[in-house]
Amino acid sequence: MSEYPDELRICPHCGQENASHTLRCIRCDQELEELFELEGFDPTPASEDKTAEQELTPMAEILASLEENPLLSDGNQSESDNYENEVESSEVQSESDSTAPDWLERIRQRAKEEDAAGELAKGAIAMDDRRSQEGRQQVDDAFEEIMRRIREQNEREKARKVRRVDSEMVDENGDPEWLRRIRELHPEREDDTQANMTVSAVKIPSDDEWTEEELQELLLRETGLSETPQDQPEEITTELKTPSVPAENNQVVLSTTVDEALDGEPDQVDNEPEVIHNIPEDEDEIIDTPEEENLPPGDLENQRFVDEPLQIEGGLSQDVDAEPDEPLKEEEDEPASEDTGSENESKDLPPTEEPLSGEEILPDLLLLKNQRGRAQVFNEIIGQEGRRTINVLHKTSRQSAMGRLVLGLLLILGVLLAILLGPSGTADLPVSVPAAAFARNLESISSADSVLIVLDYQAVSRNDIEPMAEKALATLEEKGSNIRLVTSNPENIWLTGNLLEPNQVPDEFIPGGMLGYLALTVGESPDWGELPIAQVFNDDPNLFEGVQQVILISDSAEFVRMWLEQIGPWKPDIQTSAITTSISVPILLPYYDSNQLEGIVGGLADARALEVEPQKLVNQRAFQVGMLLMIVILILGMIMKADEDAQRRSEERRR
Amino acid sequence: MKQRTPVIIAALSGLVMLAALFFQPFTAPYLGLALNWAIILSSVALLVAIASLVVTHFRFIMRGRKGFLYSIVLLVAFFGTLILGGYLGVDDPDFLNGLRSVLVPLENALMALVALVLMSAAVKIFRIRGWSILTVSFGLSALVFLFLNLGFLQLDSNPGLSQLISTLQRLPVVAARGLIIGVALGAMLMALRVLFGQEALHE
Repeated sequence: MSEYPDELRICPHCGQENASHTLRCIRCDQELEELFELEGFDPTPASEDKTAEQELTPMAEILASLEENPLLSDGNQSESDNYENEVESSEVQSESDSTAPDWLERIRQRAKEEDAAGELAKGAIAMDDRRSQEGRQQVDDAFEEIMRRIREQNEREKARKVRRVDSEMVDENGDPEWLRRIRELHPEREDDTQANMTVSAVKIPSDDEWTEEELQELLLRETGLSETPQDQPEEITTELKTPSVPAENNQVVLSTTVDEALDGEPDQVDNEPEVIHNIPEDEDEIIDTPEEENLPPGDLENQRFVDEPLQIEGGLSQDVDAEPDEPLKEEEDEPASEDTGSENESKDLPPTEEPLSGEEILPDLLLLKNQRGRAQVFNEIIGQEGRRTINVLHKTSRQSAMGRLVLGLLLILGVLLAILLGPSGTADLPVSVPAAAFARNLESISSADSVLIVLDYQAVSRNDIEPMAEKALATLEEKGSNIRLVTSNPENIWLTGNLLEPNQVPDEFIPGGMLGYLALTVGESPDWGELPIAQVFNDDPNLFEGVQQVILISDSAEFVRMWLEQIGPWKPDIQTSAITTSISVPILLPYYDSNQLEGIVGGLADARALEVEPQKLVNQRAFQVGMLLMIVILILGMIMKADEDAQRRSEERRR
Repeated sequence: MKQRTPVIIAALSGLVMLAALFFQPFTAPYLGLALNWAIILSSVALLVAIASLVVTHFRFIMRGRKGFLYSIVLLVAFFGTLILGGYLGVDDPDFLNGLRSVLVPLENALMALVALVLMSAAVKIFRIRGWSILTVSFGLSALVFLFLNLGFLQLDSNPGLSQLISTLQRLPVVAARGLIIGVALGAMLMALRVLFGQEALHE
């Protein structure tokens, strides 16, 4: 029966045609508020002073609006219910007159004779019936749609909160770990943040305050009067997400409002706060909702954009999730810590009507974005505590330990057999040029020369050094040279007994290592006193007085190099030679080539140059067996690697 | 200023030492005095290090940390040596023999373990590092020089082969010279950086 386009509604904002069941315009996303409104219908009771004629005119408008309203446009409407159509359509009436029985005609005639109030009552009843049957269905559908949105939003908020909880970086105040670290790094930023929070703390409670109209609507809805024409779906959406804290704060106001609205139904009022929290919600949602509630549609979209996790970078979404809650969390805590006076002051402040738009939140996000890199670095540094900084090339397995044990046993067994079986043998190696030079230099030392012997070797290398050192000292003693034995290594105090007499100790101990030698070389006692190092000498503190030769007995090429570079230039007239290990010889050879060293004797290979007795050397056969084992094992490692590679290649070919 | 103080002190010390070296013998007493100060400071630092070592191992024992038995051995050896050396004197023959009989076998055993580890590393180096220039050159050079030092080759009868072996044995000298030149250049650059305050000594 409707004359209007089928099931289409025109958006009052943009003019877009929408289906009748849609709640928002598909083009501009604006609420189609007219959906639940009846044009010309005033819910307030009409004044009793109005006359019947004055009431007939609005009645006709109401009937006309009902005719136009798509909510009531239904093809199943009966003719008896369309009394208003008889007034407007003469054709329909003539048609019904011709077909109606006599009793029906009498009823119609009587109805025409009734007063306008009766007609109004009939119209209202008919309208209520239609609305109660069809309009209620659509209202229920709309309510279900809204509830579905609320649940979806709750689920999103919960999922977001779960992500934050999973990070386990939120303290009792709700502050994430990274944010607290940033605040520790930048206390001035903290001050700024607190200042911002103070400002927002003033703002937000004012946003959370409810008006009396909102409270009345909420109470009427909860007490079963939600079917009143004032109900609007978007209002339900916002009010059901009202924060609990402001609701508690407003309970006093709410009770008075309820008393005024319901005129003595306090029982329902007492149960109201529990009903408010019937919908599952979390604190974040509670806090975020008032901002959205007061936002205009444009800012509401910005706020949703902020609430959505940003997908710009990997770690940014979490930051963005946590940051908008930060000042709000602080706001929750601050009223608890503040005294009552401060609360009253905040309540006394004029309510700020400006909504918290997205532009007010984004600057904070940008600041955090600048600091996020440093926070990540700091987090990585903390995360590395207790971790291994150098990667392990391989883990020692049981098989590896067994292999090492077998190698060790093989080496020990081979050396033992070489020692026990057969003669010790001799190393018939050619005499090296530096060793021959050392021998010639040693022979050139006369009995009148003074020789300074500097000891600096460890007990571990004594078998590689002491045979040659002992031979050299014996040669000098035979010549009757003046020998002065010094060391700066405490270990050589008790190793010197292996060289000369068993109870022999160095003549002097030089403190400070190379610094002590340098101080004795370049330093002179001042006129005003004595240097501290002079007090450690038993004899003449002038170490190089009358010395023509210096023999360095050291297992460290570094020590010899330092001597030649630091001490040698100050005493260019003193000839220096070295007894060292075979490992150090290649490093010291350049100094021999540059004539900074008169000669070098290194290791058992040069023992032949000094004609050291074979019995004073280590068992050469055991030495050779050990070296052979080394060669075999090295070749074995190469073969094993080649075998592994061959097996891997064959497997790859099979695949 | 707090960060620049060590740099300034280091630079001044280096410049004074340089001046003392160049203006000899006028600056010799001052140079000797400065070196004596350095020796005293290093000796005091050594005493602090010893005290820290003793305290640390005392803590290990008090807390019952894993391996605290080694701490007990260390402290007993330390205080035993200290007391005996102070009582008998550092030049006492019995004291010296006792130290020598402990020290020499311990260090020889340590060197034997080093040889064992080197053997194990020689086996594993190819499996872990694979075939590369480093591993192949290491393996070949180790084989060559180990074999040459065995003394099995009697080269006196063949002058040509002897010359070849001699050349091979001089190869490490080439590497040593390059190493020494690099160390000298690095030390010189580091000294210049310290002198000009370019080196952050506090880091």
